[in-house]
Amino acid sequence: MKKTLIFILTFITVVSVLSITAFAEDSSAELSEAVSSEESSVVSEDSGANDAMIPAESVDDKLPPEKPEDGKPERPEGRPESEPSIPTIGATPESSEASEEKNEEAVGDVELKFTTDNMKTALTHMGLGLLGVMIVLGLIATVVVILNKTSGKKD
Amino acid sequence: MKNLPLFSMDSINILFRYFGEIEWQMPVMWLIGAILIYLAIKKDMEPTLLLPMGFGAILMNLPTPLQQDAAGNLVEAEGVSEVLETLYNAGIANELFPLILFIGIGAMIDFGPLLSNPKMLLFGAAAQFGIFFTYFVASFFFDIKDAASIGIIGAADGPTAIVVSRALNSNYIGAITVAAYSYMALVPIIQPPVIRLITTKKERMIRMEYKPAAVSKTTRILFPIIITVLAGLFAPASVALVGFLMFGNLIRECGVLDNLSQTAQKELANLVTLFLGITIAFTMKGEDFLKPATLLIMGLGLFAFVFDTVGGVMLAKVMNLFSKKKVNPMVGAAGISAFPMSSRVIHKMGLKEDPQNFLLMHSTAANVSGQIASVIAGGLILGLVQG
Repeated sequence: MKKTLIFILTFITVVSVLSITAFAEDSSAELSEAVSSEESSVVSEDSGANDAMIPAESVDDKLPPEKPEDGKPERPEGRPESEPSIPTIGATPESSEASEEKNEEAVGDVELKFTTDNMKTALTHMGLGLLGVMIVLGLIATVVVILNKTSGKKD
Repeated sequence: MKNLPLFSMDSINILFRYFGEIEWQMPVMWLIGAILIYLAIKKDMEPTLLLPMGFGAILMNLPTPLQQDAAGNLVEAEGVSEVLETLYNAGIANELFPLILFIGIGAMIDFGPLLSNPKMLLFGAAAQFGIFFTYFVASFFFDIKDAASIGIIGAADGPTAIVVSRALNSNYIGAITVAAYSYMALVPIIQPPVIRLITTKKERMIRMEYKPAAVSKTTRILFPIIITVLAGLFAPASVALVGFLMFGNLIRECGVLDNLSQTAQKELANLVTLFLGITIAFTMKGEDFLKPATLLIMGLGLFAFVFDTVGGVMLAKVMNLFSKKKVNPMVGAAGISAFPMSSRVIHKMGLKEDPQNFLLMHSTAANVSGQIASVIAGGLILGLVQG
């Protein structure tokens, strides 16, 4: 028992250290990205002539994403589609790339931060949920009592 | 493909080229996979799921094969992840595997001890406290849908956790599933210290008489049908979960479908479990799994299990204030869905305190009520969050 506990604690520690490392890497990458975008915006504000020197990609990055042709609202970042497509195993490299893009989109990077914005909703759901479970289970218990009393033939 | 001499640097480079594709997350995920396999084999912790998940975690974190395209450039080719993705989309993204597994689980459960002592159903309800409390706590760090999905780890029920987190489109299905199944397997380690902390020795020694009331076949047959209808009226989102569970139980209890019942309990459940474990591994790609959020989810999962136990024990204590026939508070802790681990744990704890105190049938009744309660709680969460 003790061994298992130690094992689990070690496991959690390893995961936590690695997660923190990953988090630190992500943060430094975001920081450097932010610094470079700051620099490029300073260059573009200096003179209008410099606009021509900004690479096409960076201009594209700043443009709002195009609305899908079918007119459907875009899914929020990091959320998979509710209706999954079933890929074919023998797919072409193009379809493989597409599915890879989909995966990246599906997982996404979700920022972890402390917020009390959802507290009220969660508290309401907590109260309603507990009450709901109690009511349904209480009702089931009542039905079972009635069934036990009314059904005649025993096993 | 150009011809290369057998012994040249280029040939050797081709042989070892995938070593350069190894990213730091990969060996870490191999280690996690190895730990899951170790826990499954050596510690016998939910081996049917932890072993496939552990192997799948290794499988998903190997370099992607490369191939030359028409222009002669190296591009990523089809890898094992495409096969697992196909299984994922076919069986988990649409919640098919967990629901089919519920037929098998329903066919395995004997609700007899619960039907002969229906007040045990209340413990099942109280032991879902961890779900909702964890949901509330998780809402400080995650959006509502992810928080609710994390809270459902407290259902102590893998298929329910998968269905709810998938239906809510959670970003953390992999971590939630791993936490749910790992903690289910760790019930014998998690529950005893929590119970000892919140009960006195005197309370743990309370003896409970077991006088099972005979349960008619009519009751056994009507029970799954009535539960499905009630779940449909109060928590329609839980109908798929409750319905499949109760369908399995109806097959068991009807008495005319013994072959189907046996198939559901054995072949069907085994086959789905086999695919479920390895398919879940699709969500265990290192770069997505090794995040601070994963650690927080593991912590919140443990928190959920602890407060499930607290909820069940506290209800028993409250009932003892008003009841002449005292209930051993440990039985309340068996109201979680981890069946039959939790009931066995409580039974063993009871024997440890008093070798003549047999709590198995009481704790089994509370435990099977936890099965029903967790599924209903999952449905209620879906209904509340999805509006």
